Amino acid sequence: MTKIILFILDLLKPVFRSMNIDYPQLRAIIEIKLIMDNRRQTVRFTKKQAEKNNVFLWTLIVYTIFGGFIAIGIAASNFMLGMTIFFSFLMAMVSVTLITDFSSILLDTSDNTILLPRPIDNRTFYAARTVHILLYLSQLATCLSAASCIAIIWKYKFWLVIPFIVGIFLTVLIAVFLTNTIYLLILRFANEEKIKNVINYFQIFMAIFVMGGYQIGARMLTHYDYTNTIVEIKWWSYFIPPIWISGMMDTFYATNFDIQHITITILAVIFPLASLYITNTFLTPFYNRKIVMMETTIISNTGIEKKTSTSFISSIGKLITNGTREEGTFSFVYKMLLRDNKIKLKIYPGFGLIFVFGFLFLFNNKESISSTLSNLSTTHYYILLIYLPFMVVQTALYEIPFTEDFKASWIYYSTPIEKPGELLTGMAKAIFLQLFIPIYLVISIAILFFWKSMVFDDIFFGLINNYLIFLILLTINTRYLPLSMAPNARSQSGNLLRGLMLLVCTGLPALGHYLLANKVWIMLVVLPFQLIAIYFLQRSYRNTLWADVKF
Amino acid sequence: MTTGTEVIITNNLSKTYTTKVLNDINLSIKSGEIIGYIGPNGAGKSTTIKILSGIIPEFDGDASVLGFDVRKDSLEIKRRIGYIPENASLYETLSPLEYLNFIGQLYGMDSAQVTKKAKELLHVFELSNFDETRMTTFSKGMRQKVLLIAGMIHNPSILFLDEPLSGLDANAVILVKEILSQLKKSDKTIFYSSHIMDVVEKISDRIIIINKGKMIANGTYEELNSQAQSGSLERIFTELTGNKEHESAAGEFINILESK
Repeated sequence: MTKIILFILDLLKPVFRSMNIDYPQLRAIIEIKLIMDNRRQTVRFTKKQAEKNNVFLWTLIVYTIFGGFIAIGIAASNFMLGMTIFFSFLMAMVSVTLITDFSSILLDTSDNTILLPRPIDNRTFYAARTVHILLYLSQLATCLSAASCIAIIWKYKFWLVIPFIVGIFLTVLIAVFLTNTIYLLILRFANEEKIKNVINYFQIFMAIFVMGGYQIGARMLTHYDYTNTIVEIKWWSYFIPPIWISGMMDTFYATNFDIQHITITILAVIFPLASLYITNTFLTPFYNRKIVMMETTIISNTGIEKKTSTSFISSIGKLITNGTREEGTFSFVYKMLLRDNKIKLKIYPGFGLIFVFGFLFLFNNKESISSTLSNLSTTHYYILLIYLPFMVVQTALYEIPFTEDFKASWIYYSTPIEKPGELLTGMAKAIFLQLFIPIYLVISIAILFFWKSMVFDDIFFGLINNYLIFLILLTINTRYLPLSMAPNARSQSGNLLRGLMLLVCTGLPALGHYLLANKVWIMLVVLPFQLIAIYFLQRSYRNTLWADVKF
Repeated sequence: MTTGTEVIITNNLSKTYTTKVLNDINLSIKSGEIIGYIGPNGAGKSTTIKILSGIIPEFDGDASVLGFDVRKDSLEIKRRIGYIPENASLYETLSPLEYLNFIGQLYGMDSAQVTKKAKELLHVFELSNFDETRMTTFSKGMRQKVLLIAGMIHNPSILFLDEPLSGLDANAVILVKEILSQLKKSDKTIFYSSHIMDVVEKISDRIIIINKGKMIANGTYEELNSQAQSGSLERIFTELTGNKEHESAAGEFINILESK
């Protein structure tokens, strides 16, 4: 694979040359990066980790299946609508992957000591990283688009595949250049000490924006009549990149060369080139220097940088935990959830999505907003709202074992820990208290506002039920100690089965609640059983032995 | 425990990964001793320390620490020893105080008690000004100081240190040496590893040299030095003290650089 990629790169040599990039250096960096990426998963610990070799392959397979669904969309709708759906989807997927997974390549400081002392100029260094990112995204985009290519050949004309493929790569380029431009602007103008945080907030915001926007867009489309809805180029189309590409496709399909189509096609082609030119001339000259600054943080002599008063939290921690090991892990995890940028990036967008989803559930029909609101109190929508915050908790549980600092977890093995379960419950309590309780309070207030106090029992019952689901999830999940695993060491085996079990085990209690909504007396009957289940699950989780912990 | 009790005993301690990394190591260390465990890179120093501190449970032969069997009672041992690994990582986004607090709690200590202790220890190490600063901004030496405290916060009777002085500045080295000799006075046993001898020769009661998993010498610095003079230890000893004549190799190195 590496050889094929390098061969393609060699073909593009003149392009790089024309941008004043040192091609042999670029090629050398890319080659070594690809070799390392291939090896990284295999040689980690002495343990049997061969299964991890295929993480990326799995992602590709899943994306290909995803792509299949979208191809059905293309086949089912008219040309322009299908193209708009496809390219919006593609751009959303590419951007999210880029922001959450691959921007670390652009902002990597780990090889500073290896590469920066060598005579590599800003442009080449930046280009090498951008190409590295592009290589991955192109593979993902290819998988996402494979089925749609077939759909196009089958439904339309064969030669349309050519502009379609061009469109796919333009989409990837636009996503990459837009994001990179913003990163470079942040690097250029943000206060050096704050760069990492600014970037983190930007990533969180973008993740909410892209995912939320995509959700809203997708829901809006369900109200459309697929075959008859006409997507026309309006003035606002010029601001939405995916429509540039679909407009370009329409130009070829309908052989429509009016002024709007021409303009939008030109935009689609010119934009990536222009942003490439702008970044290359104005922004990359600062790149190396800023990357160095991201790493060398200078300690201020006063030493008072960020004093955090967590005394309130630690007193709560004392109350709800049992034993110093559980208490210690509780406050450790609590702090890490507030500070680890990677974890924040994965978890915090969930808060934004809760509101997007909540909004969508409420207004997912054709009635006017005012009539929806006035009829609200007669519906059971609030049950959905009660279970929405769980989304964040689920992500947190999925992410909390993984950190760049995983090597620091040697302390778990050098200290006398008899029952790692105590650490696990400390972790679980921190997650539930920090990520669930506050948002549940906010949602409860909103529910009480719309539905009045008659649903108070449901809110209480929902809280207990959510905690029960949380414990079920903990019981089923692979048990890792908090912040103890390398980020790419995630176990892939048995994911499908586990996923199904999760769906059933966490879905059933929520469904049960939906059926019981407003039936206070049944809830009172069920409640003791819930509490007993909670007691036993929590106890067994706390008794987790070393043999059950994966590391 | 009175001075002179044997606190670390191993009997034909061996460890095999794919190759044999430890080969019949027999140690007998008394309380209050400072042991320098010296050997070139890859000699098996870290493996020995990890076995003795109860982190690696699979090995051949016997080992006991403070009278506990390392295989069976690793928890009891971990409670009573301190261990500081080589190139240790720490959770950088925490402040030293938070980190030490967490470690103390993993040892089962009360949070208020740890905090008080940690504050005082950080003060001794001149880190008071930074006790609530996140460690992302710390230099290597500052981190090493925090790690040293982390290994001792629960007042262990034996301290295992893997390359304890790496990255410390001259003042800190003096301070650490001084702390080690004070610890010795309060009957603590110290077992440290290093790949260079001259840094710590003066504070060690005894130096054990291992090479390729085998113990090749055991004695005071003076004893080893005289053995080296007489020839039996010469090669490995000069390598560890860094006095070897490397001129021919260096000359060849320059020749290759300049060729073509």
